[in-house]
Amino acid sequence: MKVKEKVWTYKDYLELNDNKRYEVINGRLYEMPAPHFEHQVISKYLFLKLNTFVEHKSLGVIIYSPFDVILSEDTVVQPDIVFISKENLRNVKEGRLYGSPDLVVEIVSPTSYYRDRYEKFRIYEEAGIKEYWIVYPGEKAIEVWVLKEGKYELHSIASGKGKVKSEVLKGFEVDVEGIFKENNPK
Amino acid sequence: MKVKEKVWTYRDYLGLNDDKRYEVINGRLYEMPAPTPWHQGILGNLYLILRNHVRSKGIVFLSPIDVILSETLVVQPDLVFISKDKKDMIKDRIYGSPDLVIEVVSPTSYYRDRYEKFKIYEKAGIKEYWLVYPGERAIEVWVLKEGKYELYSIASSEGKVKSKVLKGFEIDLKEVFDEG
Repeated sequence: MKVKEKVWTYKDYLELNDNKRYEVINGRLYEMPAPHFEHQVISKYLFLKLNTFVEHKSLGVIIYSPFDVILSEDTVVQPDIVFISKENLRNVKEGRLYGSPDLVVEIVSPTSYYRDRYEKFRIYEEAGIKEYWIVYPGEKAIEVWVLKEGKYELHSIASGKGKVKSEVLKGFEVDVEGIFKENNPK
Repeated sequence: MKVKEKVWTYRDYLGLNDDKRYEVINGRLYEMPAPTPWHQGILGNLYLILRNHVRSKGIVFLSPIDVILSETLVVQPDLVFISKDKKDMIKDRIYGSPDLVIEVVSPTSYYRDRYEKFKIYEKAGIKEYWLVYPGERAIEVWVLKEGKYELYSIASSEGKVKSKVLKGFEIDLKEVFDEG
C-alpha cells in the first residue's frame, strides 16, 4: 500500500510515530498491513529450519520481521526473514541493521506481489544481498536467487514437492512440502 | 511431472495412446495432471471474458488443445488466442505460434510456466504471454519487444491488467478471481 507522495528518507521514517509498520523504498513510503495467518505459519516453519541450522553451526543470527534493515538513505525494508552472518553483526546498531544482510527471505502475498518479485528483487540485487529467497504460498513454490557478478541467478527452485538449497548457507536445504504443510490453497 | 528419458518428438507424442494428457518440451515428455476446480474456475472466467471481447477479431481456445511449436515442442496452454488473419494455422491441431497465450500457474507447473515456457514462448515469437497466479491473486502480462518479453502490465490483490495484442482489452482481477 503506497501512502504519501513525497520523497521519504530514513530520517523521516524514524520520526513517524503512529505505531504502524512501514517500508521506505526508493523514497516512497509503504504501509505494511499485518500479515495473514498462513503467511505467518510458513514464516514460522522456514524460520525454525534456518535457525536450527545457523545456531548449530554458529554462523550468525536468523531474525524475523519486523526488523529494520537500512539499505540506503531512501530505502528501509523489513524483510520477512533475514540472516546476518557473524562478521556482519557489527553493522547492527541501535537495534537496526545498517547495510545488507547476507540472506533475505520474502513470503509473497497478494498485496506485496509486485514489490517482492520485481521492486525488492532489483533493490536487493543492487544492494549486493548475496541470496534472496522468494516464497509463493499459493503455488507452494520457493525460489532461491544467488548473486553472480552483480546479477541474481536462479540457483534452486521447487514447487509442490522437492527441495531447495542455499548457497550462502552451505549444506542447508529444505523440503518445500514441510514448509507448506499447513497451507491449503483453494 | 517428467515422464520418460528419451528425446520425444511430435510423432512419438501422436503415437501415444493411453488417454493421458502430455506436453513435449524440448524433447522431454511431461504428463499433465488434471487441474483443480479452483484452477478451472479461474480459467473459465478468463475464457468467458476474453471470448466476449474477441468476438470477430479471432478465435479463443480453451485447454486441452495441442499447439505444435516445433518437432520437439508440443504444448497445451490453458488459453490460446489466434487472430483472424492467422486462422490458417488451425488444422487438426494448431501449428505455429498463437498471438496470445495464457497459463494459470499451479504448484505442479510453477517452474515450467514461469521459466521454461516463458523462454519457449519468447523464442517462438508469441507476442503476448499472460501468467496467472491464483494463490497470489496476481496476473502478469508479458509483451514481446525486440524478441524479449517485457512486463507490460501487472496487478495483484486488486486492480486491472491490460493487453497490448488485444487493443482496449482490460480485465479486473475481481472478475477473474471472485466470480463463478
